[in-house]
Amino acid sequence: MYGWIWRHLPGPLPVRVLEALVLVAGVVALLMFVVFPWAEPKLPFNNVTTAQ
Amino acid sequence: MSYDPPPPQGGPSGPPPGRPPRPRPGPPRPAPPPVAPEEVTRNSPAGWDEPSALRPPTPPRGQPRSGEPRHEARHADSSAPRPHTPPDRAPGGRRAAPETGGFGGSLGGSLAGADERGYRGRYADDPDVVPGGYGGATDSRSGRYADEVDAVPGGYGGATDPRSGGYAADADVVPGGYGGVADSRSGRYAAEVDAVPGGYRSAADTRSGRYAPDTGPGGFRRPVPPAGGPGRFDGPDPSPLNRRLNGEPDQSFRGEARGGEARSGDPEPLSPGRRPRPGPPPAQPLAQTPAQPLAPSAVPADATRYTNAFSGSLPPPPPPAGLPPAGPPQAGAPRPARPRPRPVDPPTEVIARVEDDYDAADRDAEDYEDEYEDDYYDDDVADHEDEKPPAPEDSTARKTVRTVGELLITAGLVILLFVVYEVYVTDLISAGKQDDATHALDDQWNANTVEPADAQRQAKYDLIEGQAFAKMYIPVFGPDYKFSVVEGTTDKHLEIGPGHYVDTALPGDPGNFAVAGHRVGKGAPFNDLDLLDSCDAIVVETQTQWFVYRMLPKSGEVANWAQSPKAKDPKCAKVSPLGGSYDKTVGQEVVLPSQGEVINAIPHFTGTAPEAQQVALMTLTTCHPRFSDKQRLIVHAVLAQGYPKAPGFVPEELKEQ
Repeated sequence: MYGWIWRHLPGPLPVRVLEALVLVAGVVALLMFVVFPWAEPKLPFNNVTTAQ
Repeated sequence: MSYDPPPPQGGPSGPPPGRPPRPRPGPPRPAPPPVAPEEVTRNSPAGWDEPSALRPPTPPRGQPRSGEPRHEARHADSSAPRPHTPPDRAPGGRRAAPETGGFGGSLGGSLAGADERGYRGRYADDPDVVPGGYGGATDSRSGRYADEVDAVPGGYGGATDPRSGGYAADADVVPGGYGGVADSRSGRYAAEVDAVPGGYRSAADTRSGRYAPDTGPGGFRRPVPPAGGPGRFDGPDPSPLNRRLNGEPDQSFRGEARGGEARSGDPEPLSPGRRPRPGPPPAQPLAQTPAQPLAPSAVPADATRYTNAFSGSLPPPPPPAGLPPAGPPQAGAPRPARPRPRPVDPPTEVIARVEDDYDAADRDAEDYEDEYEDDYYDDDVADHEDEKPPAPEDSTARKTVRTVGELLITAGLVILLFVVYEVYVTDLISAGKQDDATHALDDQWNANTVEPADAQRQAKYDLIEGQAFAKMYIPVFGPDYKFSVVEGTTDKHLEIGPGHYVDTALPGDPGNFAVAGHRVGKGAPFNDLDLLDSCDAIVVETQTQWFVYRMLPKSGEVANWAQSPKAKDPKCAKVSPLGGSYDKTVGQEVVLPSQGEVINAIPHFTGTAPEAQQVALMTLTTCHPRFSDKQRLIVHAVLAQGYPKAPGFVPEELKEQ
């Protein structure tokens, strides 16, 4: 998977590295600001209230 | 003999042979000369014909160069090349391109390429000439740091590949069959020219230092000087290249020149052995002997010619015409006949280049030969290496396993990232929201200034879900433990800070002031709630008042509370088991999430009790155990003290540690 991605990155090595970093940053941002906030309430980690 | 065959290619070669066909064998050159003339003459005719046809191809180099005098020569060479640049090109190519056979052209082209390089500089482009058959191929590859020029003629053709690097340039000329190969490689500080004639082939390798080109092969190395040239030429290079390199009029040149080989002078002094004189061996001998003799006489003129050639005046124009004439003379009486016409070229600017000492040092003919060969092989090897066979493709199973493994690793990383998000990132996000809520609350409080003296004033709350209405402090958790309490206990509200259960009592009022807060992440206001001990203060600040709640005795302390040392602690002055309806209400308990009765007005009391009988309680709820929501940690506190707010007044309970 990663090898496939790497092979499909255009440009010389430095550019590829940069692109890879951008990709990683994008994925992390997506997880942090979209996926995790969405999933977190559904996970049994931090419910602090009692039934009322 | 061998020459004869080459002639075609070489018509050029023919001439070259005279020159010396043998690049390396510098010595042999002498022989060639004589032959060269003959050949030249012979070649020239045939060669020309072919070359002329061929020449067109070469143009690439020639074109650019053409502009320059040298270029012209080169062009001639290039055009001629195929034939065999080796011999003829030099002569014909440079001076009388037309005259010379293909070789002349090729060699000239190669040489020209070298020269150009030299002039161009480290960063200059590389021209490659690769003649095929009678044609020539030019391949230029430029690397940042190295330039190389290789000429590899095939069959009767010749190939020249110049590669220039920032710091080194190599030019190799490798003539095949009747063709010649010239390889010149220049290192930063040295240049070499090697000529390796095989059978009819001759290879010239020139390596030049950054700033100067050298002619490695003894034969090739010809002193630039015209006069000196001849002698060297004879010996070392029969090949036109050498001659050219030397910039001298080679014997061959003479012969050739006579034949109309203007080239002898012209071509590139620098260029490595453009001509791989094809028939070096045979030709060489012939050429050499005759050439030498000729050289001397001719030399001067040649020298001038060469200089001219270098000068860049391509004008070998005469050559063509001269060549033919020269050719005959050469054959018959080679050198002398030289048609000076070639000299055509005005003195060349180029010559200067050659000047690397290193080159000179390296120039040993023998070394050149060896190096040449080595290099040659190395090149082949290198090429093969470049062509590394692709690794065998992985099987489907292997790909699958690898992909699954990568996905699992990715999943693990995502989960780790989630933990980081949950524990740290949400803290950052919540901190921002908490600050916003606190500022909003401060603004509200400051806007609605309350008269501190108005003791009768009823606490006023604007309870809007999501907005803070009070601040809470737990002094034992540190002086910086401060949170604004918002209304509501949804996830959205709790992101901001501790949330007040809607519909439960307000601070200071009888009943149960219940607040929920996160224990992990999102500011984790209740992270250490389990560390809270009985009688510890929980201070709540509203717009108008301070309320000090103290934690009730824990379940284990209730029984003997009166006798416990704690009971005598000033902090616990107003704390004691409540008893009665509150007999199940203790300082700390752990319950199930479904046990909502802990936040009732009277915890765990299902009945109804008049507000007058209710105690002012505060209840804190959070998850338990940490990182889990299986249970709830509950802390009950009782109102112990209240103060009206006053400027500069701070409850002493806030200073408890």
